[in-house]
Amino acid sequence: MLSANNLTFRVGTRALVEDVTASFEPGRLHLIVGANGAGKSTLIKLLTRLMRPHAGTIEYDGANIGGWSERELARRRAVLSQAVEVAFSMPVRELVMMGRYPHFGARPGASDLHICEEVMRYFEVDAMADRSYGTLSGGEKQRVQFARVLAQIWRPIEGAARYLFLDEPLTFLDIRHQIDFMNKVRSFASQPDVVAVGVVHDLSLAARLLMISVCLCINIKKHGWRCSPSRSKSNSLTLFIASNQPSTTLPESLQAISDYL
Amino acid sequence: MKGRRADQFWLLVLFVLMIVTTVASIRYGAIDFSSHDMAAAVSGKLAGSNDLTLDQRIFIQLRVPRAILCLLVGACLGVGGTLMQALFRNPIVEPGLVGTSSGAAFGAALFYVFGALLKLNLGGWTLPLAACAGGVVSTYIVFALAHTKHEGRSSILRLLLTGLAINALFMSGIGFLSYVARDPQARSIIYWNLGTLSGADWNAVLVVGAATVLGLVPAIAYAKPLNALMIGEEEAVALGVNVVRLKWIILTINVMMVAVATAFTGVISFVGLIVPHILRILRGPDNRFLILGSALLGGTLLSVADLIARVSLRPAELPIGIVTAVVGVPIFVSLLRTREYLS
Repeated sequence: MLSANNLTFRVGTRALVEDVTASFEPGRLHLIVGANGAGKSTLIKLLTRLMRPHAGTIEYDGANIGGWSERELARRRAVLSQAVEVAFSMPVRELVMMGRYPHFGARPGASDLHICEEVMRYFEVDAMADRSYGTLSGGEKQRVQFARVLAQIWRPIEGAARYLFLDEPLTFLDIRHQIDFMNKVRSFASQPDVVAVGVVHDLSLAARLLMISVCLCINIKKHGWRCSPSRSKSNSLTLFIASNQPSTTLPESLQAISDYL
Repeated sequence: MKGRRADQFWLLVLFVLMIVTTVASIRYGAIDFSSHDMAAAVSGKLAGSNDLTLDQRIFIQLRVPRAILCLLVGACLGVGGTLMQALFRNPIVEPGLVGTSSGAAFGAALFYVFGALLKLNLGGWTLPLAACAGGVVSTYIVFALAHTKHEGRSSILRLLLTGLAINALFMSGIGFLSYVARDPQARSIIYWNLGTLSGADWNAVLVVGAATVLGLVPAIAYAKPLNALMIGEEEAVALGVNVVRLKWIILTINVMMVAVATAFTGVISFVGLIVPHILRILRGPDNRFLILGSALLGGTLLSVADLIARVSLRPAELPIGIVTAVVGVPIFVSLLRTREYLS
């Protein structure tokens, strides 16, 4: 269980996230959708502790993560960012192995090597394992990054949940890989010990994904944040709708999604 | 052959290359020594003999420390370049970028112009101390100016640009000092800015050697987090790296190595830029290989350059900074053209 309690984050005097309280359960994929500037990416950065909130706390399995070491945190949570730029190109296999960095000392062990092979097969990048990352297409690069991120939390951890965060994960993928990727993520997120939270800004894309899954909307609240309650056809995916507009009516496109469901 | 075994093989090759160039560098120069002369000088010295010939004393007190200092300085510059390029995630970065070498050069220029005036005299240590202090002070200025309360995403970029700006300021300071200086001092400033190992002695070897070891050991220990930084600051944090701490440790290591090396030899450019690139072209960007590799290759390249500097105009010698680019550029450019390195 992931809980955010009264999170506030400001730049100067402007609040990007204000007094947000939300909780995310394991075993399903939570998607946060909303317009540009609604504070979605900021919220993800706070939940992953890539940035620290000015007020409020974040709890993983009921424990405040504020005081955890970077490495301790990295063994439990993985983050896929919007666009990863690699400064010096390297073989795909080495890049995927970086996902195991929090788990080994100087050199990877047998289980690390094994996990890398598994995730590369899962995301169908094993055929390009020895190619240089710089020579791949945008979509191939994105899939390699998925593999790296999932390698970080691929195996269950005794007595603790794993946390997966996705910030605009579908940007560089074609439609076939978008669907394929979402299915893989949903199947990964359906494990009972995985808490998964993602951000999608493209509403039509979100709607398309919702056609292949179904949304259930629950408790996100407080200033500037609200939630669209919609009917549940399956409980595999949760949709949060973030908005920076003070009105309580949903924008039409969101209403359309919720009507469709 | 791949992975770690290949890395070890390449490190062995680089090590052998370094030994070969060092032997050549000891043997040839203003005077050439035969292997018999060299053995006689070393055994004479080891036996504690006091009646060494002039040639033997030249060998023990000048030639050998110079060759070793050359290796150490090359190692410092190579490792500094690797660390800075990894930290800034930028291929055009040199180790002196954060203000270290221009500050050292400014310190040396101040010494040349005002040293006699102020009657500061610490013997042979005055110039290295002035240069080292200049390097440390200027780097500190860059850090202080680039530091903001919130360590954000842009902080490394801010450091890089502040470094460029402060470098420009110190270069103009050096320009001013050499403009107002009278001739012997002005010439010394220019000469120092081209780098020279002619001041090498065993004291310099000891000090630079200590800096090399003190820098190299932690640098190797931090190779893995530096690798994580290659995919971005935020991604490195997500992979469990304390990026703020890593940044300060790496910058401190670099400043120590570069300031101390520069203090004894003057500004030697280009080695720190190309050594990491040559190794990346050959073996990829894994810092666990690059850091040790760049120490070995940096030493080798600088030894070759110093050898050429000493034998090309015998018995006079060229400033080494003139030679480093002449040696390095052909290797660098041809490697850049033959491999798909920057794709």
